[in-house]
Amino acid sequence: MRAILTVARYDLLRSLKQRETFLFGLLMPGIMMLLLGVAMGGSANSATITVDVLDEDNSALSGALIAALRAELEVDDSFRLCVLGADDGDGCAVSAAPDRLEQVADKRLEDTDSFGTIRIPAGFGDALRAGEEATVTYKSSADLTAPTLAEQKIEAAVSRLSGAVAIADLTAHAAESAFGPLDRAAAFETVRARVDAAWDERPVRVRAEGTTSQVSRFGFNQSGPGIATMFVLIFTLNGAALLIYERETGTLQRLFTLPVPRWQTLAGKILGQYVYGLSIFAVLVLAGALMGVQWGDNVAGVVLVMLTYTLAVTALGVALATVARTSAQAVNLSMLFGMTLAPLGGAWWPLEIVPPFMKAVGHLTPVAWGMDAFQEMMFYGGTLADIAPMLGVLLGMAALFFAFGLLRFRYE
Amino acid sequence: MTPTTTPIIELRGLGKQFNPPDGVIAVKDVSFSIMQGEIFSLLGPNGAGKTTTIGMISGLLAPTAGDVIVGGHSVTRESLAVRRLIGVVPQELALYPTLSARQNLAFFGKMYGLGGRELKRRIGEVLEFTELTDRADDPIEQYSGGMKRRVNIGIGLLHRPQVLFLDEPTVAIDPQSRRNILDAVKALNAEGITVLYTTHYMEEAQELSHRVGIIDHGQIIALGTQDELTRTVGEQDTLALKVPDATPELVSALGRLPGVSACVRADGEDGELHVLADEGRRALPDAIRLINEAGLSLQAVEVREPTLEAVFLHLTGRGLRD
Repeated sequence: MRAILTVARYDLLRSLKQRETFLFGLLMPGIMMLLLGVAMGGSANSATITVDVLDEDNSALSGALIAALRAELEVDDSFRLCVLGADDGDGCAVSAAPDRLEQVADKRLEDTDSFGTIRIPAGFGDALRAGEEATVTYKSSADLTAPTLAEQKIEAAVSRLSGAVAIADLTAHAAESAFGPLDRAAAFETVRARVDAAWDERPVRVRAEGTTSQVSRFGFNQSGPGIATMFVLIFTLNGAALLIYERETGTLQRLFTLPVPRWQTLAGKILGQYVYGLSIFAVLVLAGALMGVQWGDNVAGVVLVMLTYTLAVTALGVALATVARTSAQAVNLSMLFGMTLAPLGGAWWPLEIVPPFMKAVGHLTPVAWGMDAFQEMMFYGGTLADIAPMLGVLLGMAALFFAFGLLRFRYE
Repeated sequence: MTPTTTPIIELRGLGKQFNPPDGVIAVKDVSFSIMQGEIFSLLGPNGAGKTTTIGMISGLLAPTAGDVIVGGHSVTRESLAVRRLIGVVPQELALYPTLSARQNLAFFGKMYGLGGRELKRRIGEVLEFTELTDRADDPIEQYSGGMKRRVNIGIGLLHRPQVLFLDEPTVAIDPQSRRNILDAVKALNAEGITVLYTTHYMEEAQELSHRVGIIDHGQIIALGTQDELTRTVGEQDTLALKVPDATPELVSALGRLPGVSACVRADGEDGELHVLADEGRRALPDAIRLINEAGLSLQAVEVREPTLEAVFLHLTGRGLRD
């Protein structure tokens, strides 16, 4: 046992002495995590979707619609309403001449400063009061999830206003019929305002529960686990090259002439690679957390995924060491494996967006199971029981790869 | 040290075939003993089977025939016990270049089971013996070739082995470092360590060895003290002729001269031919005539007493470095 720890400790020492460890093991993945994370939307905190409002009517009813929109959209940090040309304290004062506001809205949409524009046309209030049809347009960008959700919320706000207008109109009409002529506009506005207020105190409410996560699936929450699993894969597979390199330089043979059982020497080599992979993983997880990756509250789960995933890819490295003939070949193979298994397994983009066949192929790799486990905890609050199947598959893969590698390993 | 008559290593019909049944037979039916306190050299050209033989004695390679007994333990059945008795210095620089000499020694020392003060003391002694104390904490990759060789040897000495295997330890180093290594081998033997030394340099075997085994094509073709071996050649001399641009036809013609048993090119010495003759001085005029007829110039002539090179030439018709 002492020999195993000695080999592992000195292998780790040699790995950490290499400059490449810091450049390719920490700096490069850190930069990639940052770039990909920013490219995919940044941190979860900045994932709030801005929706612009272009109010060309500026009437009491357009104001009521905006209030209803705020009530629907701004229930959490997912959406923010920005009324163009109005400094109403919503934190997005966008000012321009009234006739240029539409161009400004289009430009903001094009620059992805906003994800959609709600246009309330001039005459909107008058049309409603006259009982005529009024149209509100919603123009959106092509984001993956925002339009549907925003449209639903806009529909809800419009329904709320339409309902209030219809009740006010009917009530004013009925009152006039029963009590004679009255200030119909005032009665209409009074009833509409009361209905609107009553809406906030509606007796029946729907509380949404389900699988939809409040944590963004993009940005750093995708790049963090993705880049970490990819680089741990590449570096641990690279351990195969080190094993072959030791055979080429004769140090492995020398170790086998020492008064230590050979399996202990080999176990030490494997342990060294495993701890090395885990160290890189731990640093990348911490770096990710600093960038804004929301790893979830299940710390034990995250640690277990790191342990099992690194074990599976370490075993894959041992298997690779028995296939490659030279260390140069092993380096190339580890890079090839890393750069193909990572995207296949969902390290570069979520597997939800790939066809079912590719999703199935991806799950032949440890990367997909590691990513699944991370995402289960990050997006759905997964418990240890929830990630147990993924951990089981990773352990199974480790057993399979170790069996393959150790049966084929040549001591001579 | 004067060797005892007690064998510490016994090779019994040792054989190794890689990838049997059709693979290369690297060592075939090798049997000999090495006595305690002896420096035994295994001399032979590259590819003769020296490293494979050491690999089997040290337990690195499994024999496909026979066995080796080291200090009373069978290498095939008690490999760990054998490995405790031996120190192996491989031909390659089997070191970790990014670690310092001290770190390399500490690592291998721990693997030999040393620890604490004993390990620290042995590292200090080995560094002193290899004259590397001043550079002990520099990374090995900053060392010269000779310094690396010394660390390579030092590792094999850490646990005070009874037997030290040195596999071609002077390959690709400068003459000064080579001299240091040969002196170190003598010093270790003087301390009582039995040495098994493989080389293809005849001069090293002659200088160091109590006994020499000559190996060729995986078989021991001669074994004994230097005197015993040179007597097998008889009274033959080696005629060293410096003939730049000597043609194969000339080498062949010289080998067919009366009283001449063989002629080969001496490797590493530009244009030198070695002619094995019953009487070197008598064969010289005919040799000069053949060189003149070939239109080549003879730049130097030397008649040498019988050597191990001559023994190998006599036994195989080839030079040690062919």
